Amino acid sequence: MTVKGLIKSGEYFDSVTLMIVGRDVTALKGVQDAAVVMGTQENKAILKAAGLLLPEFEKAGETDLLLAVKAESPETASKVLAESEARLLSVRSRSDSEEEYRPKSFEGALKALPGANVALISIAGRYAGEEAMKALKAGLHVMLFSDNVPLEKEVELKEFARGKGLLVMGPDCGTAIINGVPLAFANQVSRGDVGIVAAAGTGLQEVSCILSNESAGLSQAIGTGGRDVKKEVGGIMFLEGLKALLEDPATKVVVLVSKPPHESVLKKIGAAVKDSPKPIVAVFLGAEGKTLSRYGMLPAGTLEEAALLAAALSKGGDAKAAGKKLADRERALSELAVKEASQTAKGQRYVRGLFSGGTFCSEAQLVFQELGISDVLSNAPLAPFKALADALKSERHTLIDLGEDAFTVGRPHPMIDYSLRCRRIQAEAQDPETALILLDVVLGYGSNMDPVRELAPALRDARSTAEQGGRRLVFACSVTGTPEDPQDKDKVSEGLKAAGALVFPSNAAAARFAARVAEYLEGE
Amino acid sequence: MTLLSVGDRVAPGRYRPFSRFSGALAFVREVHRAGLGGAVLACVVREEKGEGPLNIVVRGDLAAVLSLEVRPDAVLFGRRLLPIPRRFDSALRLAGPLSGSIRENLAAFRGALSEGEGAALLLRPARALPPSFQAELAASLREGYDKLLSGDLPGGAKALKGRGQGLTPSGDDLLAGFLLGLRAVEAAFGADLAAERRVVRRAARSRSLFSESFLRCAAEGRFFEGAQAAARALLQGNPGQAREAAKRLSTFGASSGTDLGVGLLAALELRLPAGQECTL
Repeated sequence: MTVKGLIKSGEYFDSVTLMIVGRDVTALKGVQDAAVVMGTQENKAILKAAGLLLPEFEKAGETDLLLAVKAESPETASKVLAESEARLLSVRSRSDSEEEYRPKSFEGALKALPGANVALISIAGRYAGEEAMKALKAGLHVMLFSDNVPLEKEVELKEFARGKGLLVMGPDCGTAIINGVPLAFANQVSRGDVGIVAAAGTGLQEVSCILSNESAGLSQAIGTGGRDVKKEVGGIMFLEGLKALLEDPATKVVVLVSKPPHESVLKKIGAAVKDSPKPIVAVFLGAEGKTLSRYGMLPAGTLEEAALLAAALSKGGDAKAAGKKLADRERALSELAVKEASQTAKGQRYVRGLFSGGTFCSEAQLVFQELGISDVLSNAPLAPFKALADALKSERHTLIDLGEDAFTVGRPHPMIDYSLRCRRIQAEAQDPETALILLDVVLGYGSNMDPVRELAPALRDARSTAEQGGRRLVFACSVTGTPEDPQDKDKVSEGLKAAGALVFPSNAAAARFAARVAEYLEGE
Repeated sequence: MTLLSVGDRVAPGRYRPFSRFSGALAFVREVHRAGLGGAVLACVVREEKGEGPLNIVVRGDLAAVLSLEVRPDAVLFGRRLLPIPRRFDSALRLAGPLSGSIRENLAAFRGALSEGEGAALLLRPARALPPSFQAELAASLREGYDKLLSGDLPGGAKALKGRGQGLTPSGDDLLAGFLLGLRAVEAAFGADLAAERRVVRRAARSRSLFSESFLRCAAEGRFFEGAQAAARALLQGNPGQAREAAKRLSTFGASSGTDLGVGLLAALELRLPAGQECTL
């Protein structure tokens, strides 16, 4: 007999569904026993007594659903589990479809919710522009998740919206939080008085989560899409978003997040914030701090620094508090880096960063650059680093953005689908030169619901591969999220630690640690 | 969409969507860092689900409900502001005389529940089952139930808490029913069972938002329409009404209503004053 099981986290099924599925599964051919129960301690005790408790269930919480099957063979158990999961979904979708109207057009959606004031559009790029225009004409703000919208269309939409006093967030805008409602890839963060305008989705997530975790909160977080700050679009929506936050009485501190805007756009932003009575924190990853200071902005070198600065200002403190916090942490990071690096084997020389967030890959490169690590390659290089000859094969220190087109064509985004990254972790572990694997784990709505379940076995396998070759691998992870996210940041962090990873409070901190390890190994 | 009523335990504030079920949408208000103890649940339900302390009852399409804000005198679904026409009073009140046939009522209620799901197995003679999850679950529920009936309330509550199938495990629903039974005895006979309620509540705290919300309401003497009707039928009705109340109760959830009914019976058997004893 074989016992297999799975945990479904963050999903709730009503009792009738659970009972139907539990009963159906037990009656399947080849099944000796089965249970579909919530993961309370008490239910785990019953599962144990029935011989259905699996080691992975120990970590499940009371709100997790546990499915356990005892079957005549491993194949049957796997098949039955897959079938039970499918039954859960089919019962849910059946009951949903019986009662809910799912609009098939913009007009239908507006009819179903006549009071709506934001339209979220996620359809193929070539059609998205027209739908967005319909929404704008109906007086709705637009969040345009779709990418591949022609540049001219983006400009047309944004100019039209500006004329009507509306926002167009996107195209290719993955994150926004409006009036406390997370849209698309976003996190469950606290409400507060910090407003964000961002042309970098993962950057917005990181700043908003750190703010929330620092007991500060958000008034609004407006995404614009990365192209907005380029010369061709002229920062139309970045400026409109900024204007809205400057006028918003609920916003006390403003944070601007982007890769460096085009010079002409930066000038416009500078003019807009000049004489602002509200503090403006700017993290334009890679931009010169001096330039930003000239415009009266408070420059931050990393997303984390921007969030800490804004949190301090929101609480009535000043920039020094954030600086001190980072300086204190830096010492601890350096000591940890020396300790970890000194335990690697001879020949292990390089860091391999595998990022699901493009902004994080850029931020890590800036950190490496700042610490003087020069031997870095990337598939999305920032000067002076060079491009990898083959994105599928790491060389020297490699920082890879797995969200780039080469990796995402025909598959979900790496924040959702970890399979590619897990395979790459194994490939890096086989390389005798790999010393440290650097990862970002992004939580929140839209992201993978159970990252630990996928990453933990990959980390263990990679460690084992390295150990067979007489090497010791270091894993450094950042977790972007909050304890209130569906995945629960604390739970994910604990799971990653249990799998042997070092978990850092931000991508910048994880990257600094990795860069310090690289520094040590170069010295060796 | 028409707003029909709002439960008296639905707290004002802005809620975020939590989960979606057939005919019901669960919303939760800002979860505090301290853990689920700070989370507040509100359920937008279609009218056939009935009124409850945490229910916002509507007629119409739930798909249109994407956000929820509760104000003292109105509910905001998205941008649609609907005045609250009625507040559902979820406190158990027994107005009028007690029944002269309480024992018969309990027997009729028991008979109607005993063929049901979940904890209903406790109302049937124990039987040997082949080793399985169901056998272990049955034994475990029976152990807690027997402890409750023997007067070991903390032991019984601990043994039942979190045990069983369903989104709110059977043991939790049974304990909510037990709290209902204690309240019913207090309301009917003027007894003071507050200490016993506290003991059960303390032992039955849950980290599941749903279980904890319903148990919290039960401890505060707040119950959904069907549960109140069951208590009234048992103490003030006749056997026919008790039977009907049991049947109606058992339609609540997969086994939740039945589980609650079993707990209600257990409390009544344990704490019905002398002269009103029943044999279950």
